[in-house]
Amino acid sequence: MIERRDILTSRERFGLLVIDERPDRCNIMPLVTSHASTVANMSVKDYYTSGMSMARAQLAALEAYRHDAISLFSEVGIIAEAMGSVFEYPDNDLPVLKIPALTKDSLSEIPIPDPCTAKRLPVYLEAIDFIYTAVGDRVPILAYVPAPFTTGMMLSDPNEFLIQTIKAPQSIHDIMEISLQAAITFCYHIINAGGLPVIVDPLASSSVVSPQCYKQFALPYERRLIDYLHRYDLDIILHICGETAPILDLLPATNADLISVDKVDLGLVVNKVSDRIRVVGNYNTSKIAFSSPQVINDDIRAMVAEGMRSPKGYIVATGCEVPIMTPMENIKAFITAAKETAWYWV
Amino acid sequence: MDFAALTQAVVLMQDEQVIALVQQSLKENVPARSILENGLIPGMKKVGELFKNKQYYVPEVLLASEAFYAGFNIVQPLLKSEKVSQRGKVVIGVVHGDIHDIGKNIVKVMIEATGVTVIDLGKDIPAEKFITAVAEEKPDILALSSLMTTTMPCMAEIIQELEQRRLRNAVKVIIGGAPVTAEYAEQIGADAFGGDAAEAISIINDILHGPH
Repeated sequence: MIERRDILTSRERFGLLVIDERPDRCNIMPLVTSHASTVANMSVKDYYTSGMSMARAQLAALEAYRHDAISLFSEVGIIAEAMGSVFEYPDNDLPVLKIPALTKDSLSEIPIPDPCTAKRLPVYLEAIDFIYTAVGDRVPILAYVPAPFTTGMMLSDPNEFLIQTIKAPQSIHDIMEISLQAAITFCYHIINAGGLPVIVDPLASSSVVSPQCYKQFALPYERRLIDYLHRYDLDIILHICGETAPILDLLPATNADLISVDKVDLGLVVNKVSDRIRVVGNYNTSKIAFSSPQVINDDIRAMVAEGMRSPKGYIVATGCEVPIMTPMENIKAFITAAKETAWYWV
Repeated sequence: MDFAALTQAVVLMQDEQVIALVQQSLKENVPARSILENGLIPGMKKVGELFKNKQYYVPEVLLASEAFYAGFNIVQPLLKSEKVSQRGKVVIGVVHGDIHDIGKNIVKVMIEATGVTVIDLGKDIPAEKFITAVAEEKPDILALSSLMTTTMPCMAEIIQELEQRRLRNAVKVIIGGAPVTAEYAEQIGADAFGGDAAEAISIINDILHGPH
């Protein structure tokens, strides 16, 4: 049997998917983020503090894995840090939140950060710039932007923030407004540099808050951010890691073009919303890190069959970020299994 | 004494109502232990069920915990003078590098609500501190939490360290947290894995009192 060959580029494949045409095969996009640092043999800290390093790591990972999208991301605190939350940078670990901005400053003192200068926002912009120079329009360059709810929680003492969603709703809306403005400004710069913003809102998932809370505080601001991006005619992935079964019906109302899910039965997602919104997901990230390549191979074949039932199309992905120490063979097993099975053109 | 009203006040997250009812009961000479066991604890148990059944989420559990502790903090000092049956001891904490402690706090309040003593080391705790706590406090159970794949290996490190210091057989180790799986628990030699707060509590009960 002749081995199947890719016919389209990753970017063309994504482009067809979002206009409801079938590409040659599904985009295959394990969320290779900080793990890329290990492929390029650099410290994790190097990866998330230097745009050149982040770019170099991502390009090395693209070379090694040949997946269909660059995923620029380190952790969900990036906007909150630029707004005043204090993070520590361990050498071989992701930044850790030490002092939330709103435990020392009042909301009126919190700035809308300038993405060209504020903390690590320029790291992403420089990384996009370098990568765009290298890959051009061949591969989508996804830059993960925390949604207002997630940024808001990273600006606050998390316990306090969650309690205020019940006790003082207006104070949460006030935090959401400023977090939304910060996200919009960051997205504008990402687009200018050549990246495609992906909206990420893990702290609004049903692992944390109720569907009612999601509808009240997260969804309206996700939608405003996505509507803003639609003015640039961009197609937007909303990524919610954690549980999403209880909010599946609400997700099309975000106006997202694709929904990227994590801890939820993929069959349920396909049955419930895939006639209205494209589906991205959702291999378990503990499994990709700790299972054998053989198990991953079997799992991915089953997952692809399930996901490809989506009438509006499907992207083969992990539910969340590939853990940093994941063995390279495991990611290769994921991609090989998907490349062998996820074909639309027969 | 209307214990049902107190239970309901915990479930409905009304801390002021809980304080008022507890103080009123004490005035009526209801024993502190009875207030705890018949009023406050059933409230937190109900909250645990609502959480398990996805009717309550983290904010509701945090507020209900505040209400529970509002009452618990009044009755606890009064319990010490009473004869307490030793129901077991748990040392709990979030491993080094990880500051996500909401899940750990939920498990903690649920354990306290079963009458078991909890020593909470907090979050971002170095391995050494867990070892010292096991050596000094001699708990029945060591409960470790990690919310990040990057900090999960710290749990393996703690178990190895317990073995090296010959403390491993003295304590049962249970682990939990969003990225943790039963397979990982087995791989690193933990005794058990709690997939969520309810499962953690049922495992702790089984370890302390035998399976029901």
